[in-house]
Amino acid sequence: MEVKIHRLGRVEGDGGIEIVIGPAGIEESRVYVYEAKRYIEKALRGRHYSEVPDITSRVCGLCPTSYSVVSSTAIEKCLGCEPPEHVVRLRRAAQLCEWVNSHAVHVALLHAPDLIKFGKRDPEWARIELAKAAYTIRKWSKTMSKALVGRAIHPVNIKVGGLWSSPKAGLVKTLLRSFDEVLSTATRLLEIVLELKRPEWPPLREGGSVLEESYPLLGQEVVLMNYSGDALSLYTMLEKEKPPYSNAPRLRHKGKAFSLGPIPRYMRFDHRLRPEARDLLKQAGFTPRSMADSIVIRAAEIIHALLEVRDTVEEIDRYRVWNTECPKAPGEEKVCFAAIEAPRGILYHRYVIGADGRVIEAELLPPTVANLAAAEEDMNHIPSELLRSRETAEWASALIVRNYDPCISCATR
Amino acid sequence: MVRKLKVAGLKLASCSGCLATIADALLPYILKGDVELGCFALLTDPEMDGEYDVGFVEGSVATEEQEAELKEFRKRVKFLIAVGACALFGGPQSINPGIAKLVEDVVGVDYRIPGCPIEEWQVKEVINHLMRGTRPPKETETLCTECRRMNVQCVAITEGLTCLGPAVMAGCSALCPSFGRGCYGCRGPSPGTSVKPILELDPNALNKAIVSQEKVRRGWR
Ligand code: SF4
Ligand code: SF4
Repeated sequence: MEVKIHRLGRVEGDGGIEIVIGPAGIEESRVYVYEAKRYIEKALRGRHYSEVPDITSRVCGLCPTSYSVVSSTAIEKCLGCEPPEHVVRLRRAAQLCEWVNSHAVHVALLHAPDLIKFGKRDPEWARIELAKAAYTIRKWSKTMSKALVGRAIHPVNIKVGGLWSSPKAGLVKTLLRSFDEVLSTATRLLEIVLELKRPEWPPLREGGSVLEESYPLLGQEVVLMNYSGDALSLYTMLEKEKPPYSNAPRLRHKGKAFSLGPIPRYMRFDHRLRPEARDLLKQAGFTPRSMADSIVIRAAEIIHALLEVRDTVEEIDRYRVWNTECPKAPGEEKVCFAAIEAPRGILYHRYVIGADGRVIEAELLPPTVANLAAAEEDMNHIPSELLRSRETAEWASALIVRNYDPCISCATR
Repeated sequence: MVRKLKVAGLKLASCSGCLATIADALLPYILKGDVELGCFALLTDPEMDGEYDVGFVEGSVATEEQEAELKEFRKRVKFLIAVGACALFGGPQSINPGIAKLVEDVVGVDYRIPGCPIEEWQVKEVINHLMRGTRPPKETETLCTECRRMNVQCVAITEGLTCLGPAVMAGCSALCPSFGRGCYGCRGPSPGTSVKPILELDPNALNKAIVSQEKVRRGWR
C-alpha cells in the first residue's frame, strides 16, 4: 500500500510525505519538499557584511532572530570585534524570546492536535485551552522581542558589531509587570502537555547541539554523536546530498541520520535547564522515551527561556553604551562561522569575507536539513498495527515529521 | 451587521513571516467565532477545498506549480489580498534576477498589504472592514510622515544617516529610525514617492537614496 500526504499541514513550508508499505512493513519513506528555492546564499555574494543580518533573517519568518544573531556572531568572531558582554547577553535574550515564540505555536497549535487525537482528551476543550495559552505566551514574548530588537519577525536592532540602539526600557518594564502571569500560563501549558498521551515510538535518536557552558544556545563549538569541537570542522565533514524528489538537501554523519533540536539539547544538557523547569519535569516523573516527547521538552524550554529573558532584561538599566561597531573592511580575506540553537536545532553559518568586507561565499545550514533525513528513517519505527489502515498510517507518519517541527523554507532557502 | 468570514492563506516563495503575522492577528477572531479558517498554510490543511471570502497570498511566484496554484486560489477567493514585499515587489529572492514573478504578474488582486513582514494592525483593519462589508482604505503615507507623527527624531538630519524614509511606505511605526538607524526600505516604495525632501537635506544622501529607491521599485532593496 502506498500512503501519500500530498501537502502536509501544520508545518512551516510546502512539503509532503510518501510511505510504501509492504508485507514486512515500511519499504520506502520520503519527505517531499516542494518549496521553491530562493537562492538566498547566492544573493549574499558581493554584498557588504553589514547587510548580511537583514538579508539572512528573511530566510525564515519563524526563526529570523536566529539568522540575524548567528550571522552577526560569525562575522564579529572572525573580524575580532565582539561586542561587550551585556550586548551579547541582550541578543541572547532576543534569541530566547524566539524560542518562546516558536515553541508556543508548535506545542499548542501544530503538534498537540496529533496527540489529542491519539489520547482521550476532549479535542475541542483541549484545543481552545491550548490556543489561549499559546496566544498569551506568544503575545508577551513577541512584545518583548519588539522592546529588545524592534520586532519578533525580521528584527532591525541586530547588526554586525552588536546592536544599533538600547532596548526600549519603558516597554521592558511594562512587560516585567505581567511576567508572573505569563510564567504561570507557560507552567499550565507544560502541565497540559504532560497529561497528553504520547506514543512510545519512534525511539530517541542521537544527535547534537551547540556546546557551551550553559544550556546550549550560541557559539563556535558543537557536539554531535562522538564529535566534540569546532563547528567548521564538523560541518566540513558532514555529508550533504540532495535527493531527486526534494528541493532541500539532507545532512548525514558517516552515513547516519541524526537529530537536532530539543531532544538532543535535553538529552545531553537537561541538568543545565533552569531548576524551575527541571523540577516540574521531575515532579511529573518525566524521562523522554520517544521523539514525540519533544513536545514536553519544548514546553519546558519555554519556561527556561522566559526565566533567562527576565534575568537579563531586569539588568538593562545598568548599562549606557549599546551601539558598538566593527571595522568596515577587515583588510584580508576571512573565514567566518558560528552555530546557534534555533528553536529547531543547530543553525550553522559560514562566510568567506573579502578584504573589502564584501561576502565572497555564504553557506547557511539550518537544522531541518538534518531532521528531514532523521524523519525519513524514523518512519521504520511505526508499529505494524498502525500500518494496516490508511488513516492511522497517515496520522503516524505526519506525527513523525511534526516531532521535528520542520521548517521547510529554511531547508530550501 | 457583522458577518462571519471564511479565510484562507496561500504560501508561495517566501518565509512564512507574513502568514505567521496573519495567524497571530486572526487568532482572537477565530476564538470568538468571527473568522473560520479554510486552507491555511502553517495552521491547517493547506489543500484547497472550497470557496473563501478572504484569501491572503504571501510570496512571489517562482515555479509553474505556484503559478497554477495562485490562479486556482484566485478562482476560489472573493477578496484576494497580496501581502508583503515578496508578493508585491519580489522580496529577497528578487535580489537574484529572473527567479521570481510578482503576484500581480499572474493574477489581479483586490487589496495589497505592504510590509516585511506586514503588521498585525493592518490585518485587523482589513478584517474589520470586510466583516462590516466596507472597503479598507488605501495606504499612501511615507515613512517620513510617520516619523513626524510618532515624534521620532529624523536620523538623516541628526545622525547624517542614509534613510529611505521619503520614498518608503509607512506602517512600521518608523521602526528603524526609532532604533537609531536609517530605513533600508523593507516595506517597499510608497505610491506618492518624492525624493525632494532628502535632496534639500543632503545631496549626497539623495544619490544613494535614488539608487536604492530604484532597487526598491524592482525588488526588496
Ligand atoms: S515579505 Fe518579508 S516577511 Fe513576508 S514572506 Fe516575504 S520575506 Fe517573509
Ligand atoms: S524603517 Fe524601513 S527598513 Fe525599517 S522596518 Fe520600517 S520600512 Fe522596514
